[in-house]
Amino acid sequence: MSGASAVEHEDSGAGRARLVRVSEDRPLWRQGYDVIERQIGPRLDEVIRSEQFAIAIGLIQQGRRSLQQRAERTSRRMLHLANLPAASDVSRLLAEIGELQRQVRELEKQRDKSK
Amino acid sequence: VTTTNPPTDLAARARRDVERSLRRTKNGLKLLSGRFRPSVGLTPKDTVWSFGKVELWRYRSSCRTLSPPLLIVHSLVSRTYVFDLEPGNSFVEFMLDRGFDVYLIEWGSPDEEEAANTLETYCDEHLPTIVDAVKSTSGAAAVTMFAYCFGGVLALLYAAGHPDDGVSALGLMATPVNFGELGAMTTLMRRVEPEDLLDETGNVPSDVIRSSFKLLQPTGTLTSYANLWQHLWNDDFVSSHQLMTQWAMDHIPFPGACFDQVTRLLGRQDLLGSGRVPLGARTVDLKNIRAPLLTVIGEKDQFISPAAAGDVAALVGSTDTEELRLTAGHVGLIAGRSAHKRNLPLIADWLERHSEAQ
Repeated sequence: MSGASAVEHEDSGAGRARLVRVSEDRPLWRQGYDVIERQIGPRLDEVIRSEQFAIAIGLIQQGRRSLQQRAERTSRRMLHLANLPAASDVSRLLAEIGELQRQVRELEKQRDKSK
Repeated sequence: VTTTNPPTDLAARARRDVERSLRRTKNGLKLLSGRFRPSVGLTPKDTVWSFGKVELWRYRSSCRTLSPPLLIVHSLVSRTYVFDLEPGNSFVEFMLDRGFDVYLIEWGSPDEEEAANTLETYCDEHLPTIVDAVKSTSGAAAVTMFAYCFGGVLALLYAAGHPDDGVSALGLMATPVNFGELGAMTTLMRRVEPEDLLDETGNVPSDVIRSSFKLLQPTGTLTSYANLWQHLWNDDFVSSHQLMTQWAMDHIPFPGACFDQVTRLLGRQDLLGSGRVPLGARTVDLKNIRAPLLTVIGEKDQFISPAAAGDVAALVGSTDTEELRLTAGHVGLIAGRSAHKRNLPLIADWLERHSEAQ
Protein backbone atom coordinates (compact mmCIF):
# COMPACT_ATOMS: atom_id res chain seq x y z
CA MET A 1 0.00 0.00 0.00
CA SER A 2 1.37 3.37 -0.96
CA GLY A 3 1.61 5.94 1.77
CA ALA A 4 1.37 8.94 -0.53
CA SER A 5 -1.62 11.22 -0.56
CA ALA A 6 -2.46 14.41 -2.41
CA VAL A 7 -4.67 17.21 -1.24
CA GLU A 8 -6.07 19.75 -3.62
CA HIS A 9 -8.11 22.71 -2.55
CA GLU A 10 -8.91 26.34 -3.16
CA ASP A 11 -7.26 29.44 -1.90
CA SER A 12 -9.58 32.41 -2.12
CA GLY A 13 -6.77 34.93 -1.61
CA ALA A 14 -7.06 38.09 -3.72
CA GLY A 15 -10.62 37.13 -4.50
CA ARG A 16 -9.77 34.38 -6.99
CA ALA A 17 -9.12 30.67 -6.73
CA ARG A 18 -5.49 29.59 -6.51
CA LEU A 19 -4.53 25.97 -6.69
CA VAL A 20 -2.50 24.62 -3.83
CA ARG A 21 -1.41 21.03 -4.16
CA VAL A 22 0.12 19.24 -1.23
CA SER A 23 1.73 15.86 -1.63
CA GLU A 24 2.94 14.06 1.44
CA ASP A 25 3.35 10.72 3.12
CA ARG A 26 0.28 9.47 4.87
CA PRO A 27 1.02 9.17 8.57
CA LEU A 28 0.89 5.71 10.13
CA TRP A 29 -2.32 6.42 12.08
CA ARG A 30 -4.01 7.43 8.83
CA GLN A 31 -2.93 4.29 7.04
CA GLY A 32 -4.33 2.30 9.97
CA TYR A 33 -7.60 4.24 9.87
CA ASP A 34 -7.96 3.65 6.12
CA VAL A 35 -7.44 -0.10 6.56
CA ILE A 36 -10.06 -0.28 9.33
CA GLU A 37 -12.46 1.95 7.38
CA ARG A 38 -12.17 -0.28 4.33
CA GLN A 39 -13.01 -3.29 6.48
CA ILE A 40 -15.86 -1.75 8.49
CA GLY A 41 -17.37 0.61 5.91
CA PRO A 42 -18.98 -1.98 3.61
CA ARG A 43 -20.30 -4.00 6.57
CA LEU A 44 -21.90 -0.92 8.13
CA ASP A 45 -23.35 -0.07 4.74
CA GLU A 46 -24.85 -3.54 4.49
CA VAL A 47 -26.47 -3.21 7.93
CA ILE A 48 -27.88 0.23 7.11
CA ARG A 49 -29.35 -0.97 3.82
CA SER A 50 -31.08 -3.94 5.48
CA GLU A 51 -34.82 -4.22 5.96
CA GLN A 52 -34.31 -4.89 9.68
CA PHE A 53 -32.49 -1.59 10.13
CA ALA A 54 -35.28 0.28 8.33
CA ILE A 55 -37.89 -1.45 10.51
CA ALA A 56 -35.94 -0.52 13.65
CA ILE A 57 -35.72 3.12 12.53
CA GLY A 58 -39.46 3.05 11.84
CA LEU A 59 -40.22 1.76 15.32
CA ILE A 60 -37.90 4.31 16.94
CA GLN A 61 -39.56 7.12 15.00
CA GLN A 62 -43.03 5.88 15.97
CA GLY A 63 -42.00 5.80 19.62
CA ARG A 64 -40.44 9.26 19.41
CA ARG A 65 -43.54 10.69 17.77
CA SER A 66 -45.87 9.10 20.29
CA LEU A 67 -43.83 10.50 23.20
CA GLN A 68 -43.72 13.91 21.54
CA GLN A 69 -47.51 13.91 21.09
CA ARG A 70 -48.08 12.85 24.69
CA ALA A 71 -45.76 15.61 25.97
CA GLU A 72 -47.45 18.16 23.72
CA ARG A 73 -50.94 17.16 24.93
CA THR A 74 -49.93 17.36 28.58
CA SER A 75 -48.20 20.74 28.30
CA ARG A 76 -51.05 22.14 26.19
CA ARG A 77 -53.63 21.13 28.80
CA MET A 78 -51.59 22.74 31.57
CA LEU A 79 -51.09 25.97 29.64
CA HIS A 80 -54.77 26.10 28.67
CA LEU A 81 -55.73 25.69 32.33
CA ALA A 82 -53.78 28.90 32.98
CA ASN A 83 -55.46 30.46 29.92
CA LEU A 84 -52.14 30.60 28.09
CA PRO A 85 -51.54 29.67 24.44
CA ALA A 86 -49.38 26.62 23.74
CA ALA A 87 -46.81 26.23 20.97
CA SER A 88 -49.27 23.99 19.15
CA ASP A 89 -51.78 26.87 19.07
CA VAL A 90 -49.16 29.05 17.38
CA SER A 91 -48.38 26.19 14.97
CA ARG A 92 -52.06 25.89 14.11
CA LEU A 93 -52.30 29.63 13.44
CA LEU A 94 -49.21 29.53 11.23
CA ALA A 95 -50.67 26.60 9.30
CA GLU A 96 -53.85 28.63 8.81
CA ILE A 97 -51.78 31.57 7.53
CA GLY A 98 -50.16 29.15 5.10
CA GLU A 99 -53.60 28.03 3.93
CA LEU A 100 -54.66 31.66 3.48
CA GLN A 101 -51.51 32.32 1.45
CA ARG A 102 -52.41 29.41 -0.81
CA GLN A 103 -55.88 30.84 -1.30
CA VAL A 104 -54.45 34.28 -2.10
CA ARG A 105 -52.12 32.66 -4.64
CA GLU A 106 -55.06 30.82 -6.20
CA LEU A 107 -57.11 34.04 -6.37
CA GLU A 108 -54.16 35.87 -7.95
CA LYS A 109 -53.90 33.15 -10.56
CA GLN A 110 -57.60 33.37 -11.34
CA ARG A 111 -57.37 37.17 -11.56
CA ASP A 112 -54.40 36.95 -13.94
CA LYS A 113 -56.24 34.43 -16.11
CA SER A 114 -59.34 36.59 -16.36
CA LYS A 115 -57.27 39.64 -17.43
CA VAL B 1 0.58 26.41 -8.38
CA THR B 2 2.46 25.64 -5.20
CA THR B 3 3.82 22.14 -4.82
CA THR B 4 5.27 20.87 -1.58
CA ASN B 5 7.23 17.68 -2.00
CA PRO B 6 8.30 15.36 0.80
CA PRO B 7 11.52 16.73 2.29
CA THR B 8 14.49 14.52 1.70
CA ASP B 9 16.82 15.36 4.54
CA LEU B 10 16.12 14.82 8.19
CA ALA B 11 16.75 18.42 9.32
CA ALA B 12 14.32 19.81 6.79
CA ARG B 13 11.76 17.20 7.82
CA ALA B 14 12.16 18.12 11.48
CA ARG B 15 11.80 21.83 10.65
CA ARG B 16 8.68 21.09 8.64
CA ASP B 17 7.19 19.03 11.46
CA VAL B 18 7.77 21.79 14.00
CA GLU B 19 6.24 24.36 11.67
CA ARG B 20 3.25 22.15 11.06
CA SER B 21 2.77 21.49 14.76
CA LEU B 22 2.62 25.22 15.39
CA ARG B 23 0.13 25.73 12.57
CA ARG B 24 -1.91 22.76 13.78
CA THR B 25 -2.19 24.34 17.20
CA LYS B 26 -3.12 27.70 15.71
CA ASN B 27 -5.75 26.22 13.38
CA GLY B 28 -7.10 23.92 16.09
CA LEU B 29 -7.61 26.87 18.40
CA LYS B 30 -9.20 28.89 15.59
CA LEU B 31 -11.60 26.03 14.85
CA LEU B 32 -12.50 25.63 18.49
CA SER B 33 -13.13 29.36 18.84
CA GLY B 34 -15.34 29.35 15.73
CA ARG B 35 -13.16 31.92 13.90
CA PHE B 36 -13.02 29.75 10.78
CA ARG B 37 -16.66 30.31 9.86
CA PRO B 38 -16.49 31.43 6.23
CA SER B 39 -18.80 34.00 4.66
CA VAL B 40 -20.87 32.60 1.80
CA GLY B 41 -23.17 33.89 -0.94
CA LEU B 42 -21.22 37.10 -1.52
CA THR B 43 -22.02 37.68 -5.21
CA PRO B 44 -24.18 40.85 -5.39
CA LYS B 45 -27.82 40.16 -6.22
CA ASP B 46 -31.30 41.67 -6.11
CA THR B 47 -34.55 40.08 -5.02
CA VAL B 48 -36.78 40.55 -8.05
CA TRP B 49 -39.80 38.54 -6.90
CA SER B 50 -40.99 37.00 -3.64
CA PHE B 51 -43.96 35.20 -2.20
CA GLY B 52 -43.94 34.22 1.46
CA LYS B 53 -40.50 32.79 2.10
CA VAL B 54 -39.79 32.06 -1.57
CA GLU B 55 -37.53 34.59 -3.27
CA LEU B 56 -36.17 34.96 -6.77
CA TRP B 57 -32.69 36.44 -6.95
CA ARG B 58 -31.12 38.02 -9.99
CA TYR B 59 -27.35 38.34 -9.83
CA ARG B 60 -25.85 41.65 -10.86
CA SER B 61 -23.65 41.65 -13.91
CA SER B 62 -22.27 44.16 -16.36
CA CYS B 63 -21.63 41.56 -19.05
CA ARG B 64 -24.92 39.80 -19.80
CA THR B 65 -24.18 38.68 -23.32
CA LEU B 66 -26.28 35.49 -23.52
CA SER B 67 -29.99 34.88 -23.67
CA PRO B 68 -32.27 33.31 -22.47
CA PRO B 69 -31.61 33.89 -18.77
CA LEU B 70 -30.35 31.00 -16.69
CA LEU B 71 -32.72 30.04 -13.86
CA ILE B 72 -31.17 27.85 -11.14
CA VAL B 73 -33.61 25.58 -9.29
CA HIS B 74 -32.22 24.21 -6.07
CA SER B 75 -33.26 21.32 -3.88
CA LEU B 76 -35.75 21.72 -1.03
CA VAL B 77 -33.52 20.25 1.68
CA SER B 78 -30.28 22.23 1.55
CA ARG B 79 -29.13 25.83 1.31
CA THR B 80 -28.71 27.60 -1.99
CA TYR B 81 -25.30 29.07 -1.13
CA VAL B 82 -23.67 25.93 -2.50
CA PHE B 83 -23.99 27.76 -5.83
CA ASP B 84 -22.12 30.76 -4.48
CA LEU B 85 -19.68 29.53 -1.86
CA GLU B 86 -16.90 32.10 -2.12
CA PRO B 87 -15.22 34.24 -4.77
CA GLY B 88 -13.36 31.93 -7.13
CA ASN B 89 -15.40 28.95 -5.96
CA SER B 90 -18.85 29.94 -7.15
CA PHE B 91 -21.05 28.41 -9.84
CA VAL B 92 -22.97 31.68 -10.06
CA GLU B 93 -19.84 33.76 -10.51
CA PHE B 94 -18.55 31.35 -13.15
CA MET B 95 -21.78 31.59 -15.16
CA LEU B 96 -21.87 35.39 -14.80
CA ASP B 97 -18.33 35.57 -16.16
CA ARG B 98 -19.42 33.49 -19.15
CA GLY B 99 -22.11 36.06 -19.93
CA PHE B 100 -25.25 34.42 -18.54
CA ASP B 101 -28.03 36.38 -16.87
CA VAL B 102 -28.26 34.30 -13.69
CA TYR B 103 -31.36 33.90 -11.51
CA LEU B 104 -31.67 31.63 -8.49
CA ILE B 105 -34.71 30.49 -6.53
CA GLU B 106 -34.33 30.64 -2.75
CA TRP B 107 -37.09 28.40 -1.39
CA GLY B 108 -36.62 29.59 2.20
CA SER B 109 -36.77 27.48 5.33
CA PRO B 110 -40.25 25.96 5.76
CA ASP B 111 -42.20 26.08 8.99
CA GLU B 112 -45.88 25.47 9.76
CA GLU B 113 -46.93 27.80 6.95
CA GLU B 114 -45.31 25.58 4.36
CA ALA B 115 -46.08 22.20 5.93
CA ALA B 116 -48.99 21.65 3.55
CA ASN B 117 -46.91 22.47 0.46
CA THR B 118 -47.09 19.67 -2.08
CA LEU B 119 -45.31 18.96 -5.34
CA GLU B 120 -48.14 20.90 -6.99
CA THR B 121 -47.31 23.96 -4.85
CA TYR B 122 -43.81 24.03 -6.33
CA CYS B 123 -44.42 22.71 -9.85
CA ASP B 124 -47.83 24.18 -10.65
CA GLU B 125 -47.84 27.34 -8.55
CA HIS B 126 -44.38 28.69 -7.69
CA LEU B 127 -42.37 27.64 -10.74
CA PRO B 128 -44.80 28.95 -13.40
CA THR B 129 -45.00 32.30 -11.57
CA ILE B 130 -41.23 32.42 -11.12
CA VAL B 131 -40.60 31.65 -14.81
CA ASP B 132 -43.00 34.51 -15.68
CA ALA B 133 -41.09 36.78 -13.29
CA VAL B 134 -37.77 35.84 -14.92
CA LYS B 135 -39.20 36.55 -18.36
CA SER B 136 -40.70 39.86 -17.36
CA THR B 137 -37.62 41.15 -15.51
CA SER B 138 -35.18 40.05 -18.21
CA GLY B 139 -37.37 40.86 -21.21
CA ALA B 140 -36.67 37.39 -22.62
CA ALA B 141 -39.32 35.15 -24.11
CA ALA B 142 -37.83 31.95 -22.74
CA VAL B 143 -35.78 30.61 -19.86
CA THR B 144 -32.96 28.09 -19.55
CA MET B 145 -33.52 26.02 -16.43
CA PHE B 146 -30.66 24.41 -14.54
CA ALA B 147 -31.60 22.27 -11.56
CA TYR B 148 -29.61 20.49 -8.89
CA CYS B 149 -30.50 17.40 -6.86
CA PHE B 150 -34.19 17.37 -5.82
CA GLY B 151 -34.58 20.69 -7.64
CA GLY B 152 -34.22 18.56 -10.78
CA VAL B 153 -37.30 16.55 -9.82
CA LEU B 154 -39.26 19.78 -9.46
CA ALA B 155 -37.90 21.08 -12.77
CA LEU B 156 -38.79 17.84 -14.57
CA LEU B 157 -42.35 17.77 -13.24
CA TYR B 158 -42.79 21.46 -13.98
CA ALA B 159 -41.40 21.21 -17.51
CA ALA B 160 -43.58 18.15 -18.21
CA GLY B 161 -46.69 19.80 -16.76
CA HIS B 162 -46.14 23.16 -18.46
CA PRO B 163 -44.54 22.39 -21.83
CA ASP B 164 -45.60 25.73 -23.33
CA ASP B 165 -44.15 27.96 -20.60
CA GLY B 166 -40.98 28.69 -22.56
CA VAL B 167 -38.27 26.51 -21.06
CA SER B 168 -35.85 26.55 -23.96
CA ALA B 169 -33.30 24.17 -22.43
CA LEU B 170 -33.19 22.06 -19.30
CA GLY B 171 -30.11 21.03 -17.33
CA LEU B 172 -30.35 18.47 -14.54
CA MET B 173 -27.46 17.83 -12.21
CA ALA B 174 -27.32 14.98 -9.65
CA THR B 175 -31.05 14.51 -9.98
CA PRO B 176 -32.67 11.35 -8.59
CA VAL B 177 -35.04 9.77 -11.08
CA ASN B 178 -34.88 6.10 -10.09
CA PHE B 179 -35.88 6.36 -6.47
CA GLY B 180 -35.55 2.61 -6.14
CA GLU B 181 -31.78 3.02 -6.45
CA LEU B 182 -31.20 5.34 -3.52
CA GLY B 183 -29.78 2.60 -1.30
CA ALA B 184 -30.58 2.94 2.39
CA MET B 185 -32.84 5.89 1.61
CA THR B 186 -35.04 3.67 -0.58
CA THR B 187 -35.37 1.02 2.13
CA LEU B 188 -36.27 3.68 4.67
CA MET B 189 -38.84 5.31 2.37
CA ARG B 190 -40.47 1.92 1.85
CA ARG B 191 -40.41 0.86 5.50
CA VAL B 192 -40.90 4.03 7.54
CA GLU B 193 -44.26 5.80 7.47
CA PRO B 194 -43.69 9.41 6.36
CA GLU B 195 -45.88 10.85 9.13
CA ASP B 196 -43.60 9.26 11.74
CA LEU B 197 -40.77 11.53 10.58
CA LEU B 198 -42.69 14.79 10.92
CA ASP B 199 -42.17 17.15 13.83
CA GLU B 200 -44.69 19.44 15.54
CA THR B 201 -44.47 21.91 12.64
CA GLY B 202 -45.66 19.23 10.22
CA ASN B 203 -42.31 19.13 8.39
CA VAL B 204 -39.43 16.68 8.32
CA PRO B 205 -36.95 18.42 10.64
CA SER B 206 -33.51 19.31 9.35
CA ASP B 207 -31.74 16.97 11.80
CA VAL B 208 -33.69 13.98 10.41
CA ILE B 209 -32.62 14.98 6.89
CA ARG B 210 -29.03 15.39 8.04
CA SER B 211 -29.08 11.96 9.71
CA SER B 212 -30.58 10.27 6.66
CA PHE B 213 -27.82 11.70 4.46
CA LYS B 214 -25.24 10.54 6.97
CA LEU B 215 -26.70 7.04 6.74
CA LEU B 216 -25.74 6.95 3.09
CA GLN B 217 -22.11 7.38 4.14
CA PRO B 218 -21.86 5.63 7.49
CA THR B 219 -18.16 6.38 7.99
CA GLY B 220 -18.25 9.72 6.16
CA THR B 221 -18.21 11.97 9.23
CA LEU B 222 -15.35 10.07 10.85
CA THR B 223 -13.34 10.11 7.62
CA SER B 224 -13.96 13.83 7.29
CA TYR B 225 -12.55 14.40 10.79
CA ALA B 226 -9.61 12.13 9.97
CA ASN B 227 -8.89 14.27 6.88
CA LEU B 228 -9.15 17.42 8.95
CA TRP B 229 -6.80 16.09 11.63
CA GLN B 230 -4.30 14.97 9.01
CA HIS B 231 -4.26 18.38 7.28
CA LEU B 232 -4.93 20.63 10.25
CA TRP B 233 -1.56 22.32 9.60
CA ASN B 234 -2.79 23.51 6.21
CA ASP B 235 -4.72 26.80 6.43
CA ASP B 236 -6.27 26.43 3.00
CA PHE B 237 -7.42 22.89 3.58
CA VAL B 238 -9.00 23.85 6.90
CA SER B 239 -10.78 26.81 5.33
CA SER B 240 -12.08 24.68 2.45
CA HIS B 241 -13.10 21.89 4.84
CA GLN B 242 -15.01 24.33 7.00
CA LEU B 243 -16.83 25.73 3.98
CA MET B 244 -17.98 22.32 2.77
CA THR B 245 -18.78 21.02 6.25
CA GLN B 246 -20.84 24.12 6.96
CA TRP B 247 -22.94 23.52 3.84
CA ALA B 248 -23.20 19.76 4.31
CA MET B 249 -24.58 20.22 7.85
CA ASP B 250 -26.86 23.09 6.94
CA HIS B 251 -30.07 21.35 5.94
CA ILE B 252 -33.51 22.84 6.02
CA PRO B 253 -36.82 21.15 6.91
CA PHE B 254 -38.73 19.37 4.15
CA PRO B 255 -42.42 20.30 3.84
CA GLY B 256 -44.42 17.43 5.33
CA ALA B 257 -47.11 17.09 2.65
CA CYS B 258 -44.52 17.13 -0.12
CA PHE B 259 -42.45 14.52 1.72
CA ASP B 260 -45.50 12.28 2.06
CA GLN B 261 -46.12 12.59 -1.69
CA VAL B 262 -42.48 11.98 -2.61
CA THR B 263 -42.34 8.90 -0.37
CA ARG B 264 -45.53 7.36 -1.72
CA LEU B 265 -45.34 8.32 -5.40
CA LEU B 266 -41.63 8.36 -6.05
CA GLY B 267 -40.07 6.31 -3.26
CA ARG B 268 -42.56 3.45 -3.10
CA GLN B 269 -44.07 3.40 -6.57
CA ASP B 270 -41.01 4.75 -8.41
CA LEU B 271 -43.32 6.72 -10.72
CA LEU B 272 -40.70 9.26 -11.81
CA GLY B 273 -38.62 6.38 -13.13
CA SER B 274 -41.64 5.31 -15.17
CA GLY B 275 -41.94 8.79 -16.66
CA ARG B 276 -45.55 9.42 -15.58
CA VAL B 277 -46.40 11.13 -12.29
CA PRO B 278 -49.84 12.21 -11.03
CA LEU B 279 -49.73 15.94 -10.35
CA GLY B 280 -52.87 17.80 -9.37
CA ALA B 281 -55.85 16.58 -11.35
CA ARG B 282 -53.76 15.12 -14.18
CA THR B 283 -50.83 12.82 -14.79
CA VAL B 284 -47.79 14.54 -16.22
CA ASP B 285 -45.75 12.65 -18.77
CA LEU B 286 -42.04 13.41 -19.11
CA LYS B 287 -42.48 12.80 -22.85
CA ASN B 288 -44.03 16.29 -22.91
CA ILE B 289 -40.54 17.70 -22.38
CA ARG B 290 -39.20 18.57 -25.82
CA ALA B 291 -36.58 21.12 -24.83
CA PRO B 292 -32.91 20.17 -25.20
CA LEU B 293 -31.84 18.25 -22.13
CA LEU B 294 -28.51 18.00 -20.33
CA THR B 295 -28.03 15.50 -17.51
CA VAL B 296 -24.96 15.82 -15.32
CA ILE B 297 -24.10 12.74 -13.30
CA GLY B 298 -21.36 12.40 -10.69
CA GLU B 299 -19.74 9.00 -11.00
CA LYS B 300 -18.59 9.25 -7.39
CA ASP B 301 -21.84 10.80 -6.14
CA GLN B 302 -22.37 9.31 -2.70
CA PHE B 303 -26.07 10.29 -2.59
CA ILE B 304 -27.36 10.13 -6.17
CA SER B 305 -25.50 7.27 -7.81
CA PRO B 306 -25.49 6.97 -11.62
CA ALA B 307 -28.11 4.20 -11.21
CA ALA B 308 -30.34 6.54 -9.18
CA ALA B 309 -29.85 9.34 -11.73
CA GLY B 310 -31.12 6.91 -14.36
CA ASP B 311 -31.57 7.46 -18.04
CA VAL B 312 -33.69 10.61 -18.17
CA ALA B 313 -33.07 11.01 -21.89
CA ALA B 314 -35.08 7.86 -22.52
CA LEU B 315 -38.03 9.24 -20.57
CA VAL B 316 -38.35 12.68 -22.15
CA GLY B 317 -39.56 13.66 -25.60
CA SER B 318 -36.48 15.75 -26.40
CA THR B 319 -34.46 14.83 -29.44
CA ASP B 320 -31.46 16.91 -28.35
CA THR B 321 -30.13 15.22 -25.22
CA GLU B 322 -26.67 14.97 -23.74
CA GLU B 323 -25.32 13.22 -20.67
CA LEU B 324 -22.20 14.38 -18.87
CA ARG B 325 -20.68 11.74 -16.62
CA LEU B 326 -18.12 13.43 -14.45
CA THR B 327 -15.64 11.99 -11.99
CA ALA B 328 -17.00 13.88 -9.02
CA GLY B 329 -19.06 13.52 -5.88
CA HIS B 330 -22.39 15.19 -5.14
CA VAL B 331 -20.95 18.58 -4.19
CA GLY B 332 -17.74 18.17 -6.19
CA LEU B 333 -19.85 18.49 -9.34
CA ILE B 334 -20.17 22.24 -8.83
CA ALA B 335 -17.85 23.25 -6.00
CA GLY B 336 -14.10 23.08 -5.62
CA ARG B 337 -11.04 23.13 -7.81
CA SER B 338 -11.86 20.20 -10.08
CA ALA B 339 -15.36 21.48 -10.67
CA HIS B 340 -14.06 24.86 -11.80
CA LYS B 341 -11.37 23.35 -13.95
CA ARG B 342 -13.32 20.54 -15.59
CA ASN B 343 -17.04 20.39 -14.79
CA LEU B 344 -18.27 23.96 -14.97
CA PRO B 345 -16.66 24.68 -18.37
CA LEU B 346 -18.40 21.61 -19.81
CA ILE B 347 -21.75 22.63 -18.34
CA ALA B 348 -21.31 26.25 -19.45
CA ASP B 349 -20.34 25.12 -22.97
CA TRP B 350 -23.57 23.13 -23.30
CA LEU B 351 -25.65 26.00 -21.91
CA GLU B 352 -23.88 28.41 -24.27
CA ARG B 353 -24.58 26.16 -27.25
CA HIS B 354 -28.27 26.38 -26.32
CA SER B 355 -28.22 30.16 -25.89
CA GLU B 356 -28.04 33.09 -28.23
CA ALA B 357 -26.05 36.30 -28.14
CA GLN B 358 -28.13 39.14 -26.71
